[in-house]
Amino acid sequence: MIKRVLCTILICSIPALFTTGCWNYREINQMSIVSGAAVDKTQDGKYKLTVEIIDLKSGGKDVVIHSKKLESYGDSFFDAVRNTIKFNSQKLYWGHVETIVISQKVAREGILQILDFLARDAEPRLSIDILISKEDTAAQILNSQSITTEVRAFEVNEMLDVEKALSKSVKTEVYQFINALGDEGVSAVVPVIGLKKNSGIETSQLSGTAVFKKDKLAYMFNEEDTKYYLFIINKVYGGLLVLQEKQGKNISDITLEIEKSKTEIKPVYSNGKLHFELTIRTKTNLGEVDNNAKYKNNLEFEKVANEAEKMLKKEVERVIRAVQLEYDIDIFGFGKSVKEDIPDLWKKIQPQWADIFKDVPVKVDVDVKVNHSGLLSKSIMMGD
Amino acid sequence: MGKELITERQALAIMIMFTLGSTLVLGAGGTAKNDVWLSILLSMLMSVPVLLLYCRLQRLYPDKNIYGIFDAVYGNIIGKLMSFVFIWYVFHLGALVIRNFTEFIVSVSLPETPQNIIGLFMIVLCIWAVKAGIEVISRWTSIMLPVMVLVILAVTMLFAPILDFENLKPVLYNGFAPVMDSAFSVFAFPFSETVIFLTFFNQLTKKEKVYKVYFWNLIISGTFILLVSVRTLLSLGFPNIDILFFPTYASVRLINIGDFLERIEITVAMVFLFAGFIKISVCLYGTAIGAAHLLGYSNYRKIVAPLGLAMLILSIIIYKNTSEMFDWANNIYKYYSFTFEVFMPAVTYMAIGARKLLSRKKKPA
Repeated sequence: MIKRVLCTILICSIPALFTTGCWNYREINQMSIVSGAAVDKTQDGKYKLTVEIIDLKSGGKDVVIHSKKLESYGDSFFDAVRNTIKFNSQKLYWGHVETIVISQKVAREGILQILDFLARDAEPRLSIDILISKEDTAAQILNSQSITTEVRAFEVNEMLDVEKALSKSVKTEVYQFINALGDEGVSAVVPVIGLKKNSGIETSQLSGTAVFKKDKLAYMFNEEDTKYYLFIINKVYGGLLVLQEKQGKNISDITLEIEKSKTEIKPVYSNGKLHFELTIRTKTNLGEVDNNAKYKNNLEFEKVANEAEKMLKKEVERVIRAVQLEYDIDIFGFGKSVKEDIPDLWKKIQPQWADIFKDVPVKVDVDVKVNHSGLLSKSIMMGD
Repeated sequence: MGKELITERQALAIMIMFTLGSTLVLGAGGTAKNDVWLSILLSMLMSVPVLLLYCRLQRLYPDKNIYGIFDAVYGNIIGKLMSFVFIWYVFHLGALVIRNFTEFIVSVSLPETPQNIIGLFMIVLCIWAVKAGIEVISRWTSIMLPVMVLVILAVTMLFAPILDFENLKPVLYNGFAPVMDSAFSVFAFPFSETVIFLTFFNQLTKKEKVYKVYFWNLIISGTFILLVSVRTLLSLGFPNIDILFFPTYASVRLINIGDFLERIEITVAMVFLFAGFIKISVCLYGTAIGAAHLLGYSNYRKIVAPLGLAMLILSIIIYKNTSEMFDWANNIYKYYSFTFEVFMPAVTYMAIGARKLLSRKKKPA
């Protein structure tokens, strides 16, 4: 009996000698955690990759997260990623990447291979944010100073999340880009990021939207248009509506805060003609009233709402018209809505969609409601 | 040692784990694009007659497993031949499942570890479990199934912010053919794979409950597969599902609730592995019982280890790469498995009927 027990113990302990630890053993101090990357191209067509890695050295009691930047070159995106080993002994770990900034030059040539790497490799997540740099290079964005956190890429990611209260920028993650590429009747859009001087230091700011034709950058528009674009694609979760009106010399200002907004795109096909009906339903609160404002009494909410409706309708129509006139890229997903609601028609018109999109009529119907006026019952009174 | 018995509840638990096993990893009905929900519902309907057939077979010979039924119906020689073919199916399926899981682990988390080593650890555990017996497996399942259900439901709730219901539209854009095709796929894998349970359902404590087990499994597993497939479609969108190898896992990676609740995919991967462990064990158990029956052993335990290791080796040599595995799983398996899942039981059932007719004719003469 004892012999048997001993024998078993011996046999069991032999594999223990050979199976210490994991095959893929990677301790945190042996890897460089990447938080974000910027992709550029050099003159001779090589990829220039700038990665921000998190510096985990803790200094004394207070652990402050710092970040470092590494630059590397390669013939392909992945090649550039691996080439970091030439000067950094630690392999990059891509599991925590939050943002990727791509330069305009790279974007104009196509970003499919970058997407491919991000989706194919096991480490990066499909929820990485893609941004296009408004500046000459993407590295400039990553090298700019961040304000509230030490890690640039994380802050950009957070800015995009908090954007919901501003609604002047889109947010596009890798899987959404892939969907927009694969879907019919919609094109991918990506937020644009630029530089801005802020109390003496260069920091980055979200500034508009970049439109892609397939995987290639086509054009960009500013953040004001982006706001109305968001209204069209039903991605408004907050933000403001500023009503300005000239009254003689004075400018009347009323600012509405958007509480909720919902947009429906409805394709209508009748008598062989296609048009779209866009219905925007927006709930707002009174946020700020100028002393020159036309309407000061709370009982005049209706009129304020009417003004807002007029303004919003005008701007939305302007944005749609501008996109239709200048480019044949359907960034609103009009084609997609046809495919979803009138699939038979879509099968017929899909090959000529780019032409049809250019002058398809869009009826815009806006309904704005003003519900609350904050803590004031009327605007501040001024005696003489 | 007496015959091992399992209650119908335990049998149901094992069957649910078995059905969800590799289905959740590979994703079900992807070829139906936006209509995946429709194809899963259809496949559940398609499964009903086949499951009735299995139950009927079991009820006709309540004390025999499928190998015994083959012997009783076809006589010793043809019966043994049929048993051999069926054993091949069960054995081969076990190898396929091992390969699915090793491929999954190597692709998503341990790229540098040799696949064979991962497979070895899995199969050693399965051999141990099968040697311990179906009672032990069923008790383990009774504990782990609630965990699995809880994880699936909890994770599904976390999906709420990233669901986009527009992904369901347009319905039937490509017509009915791809939906039927994909429904047939889901019918063959996983619903009709439950034919393997005929290898040991003569061990149920209450034999008349076999209908209950099969049909509750169809409802419960079907609901879960539907839930997971639809949530994957709604979160990832169709183009992604089309290109990703492991869409369920990839979709869970998207979850990020307030920068706090994220990176929970490992829980899902664990749950997948639990179910995979049960599926491989059931296949190994079915193979071992069959082989013991064929060789005339009274106890199947002696041959579990060699069969398990052979299964592992088959899993290694069966495919050259992941793409080949998916091609097989999506395009070929449904036709291949039809022989074993539908053809063999149906022919056996008809043979039983023919025998009865013959014997009835003989009696008055």
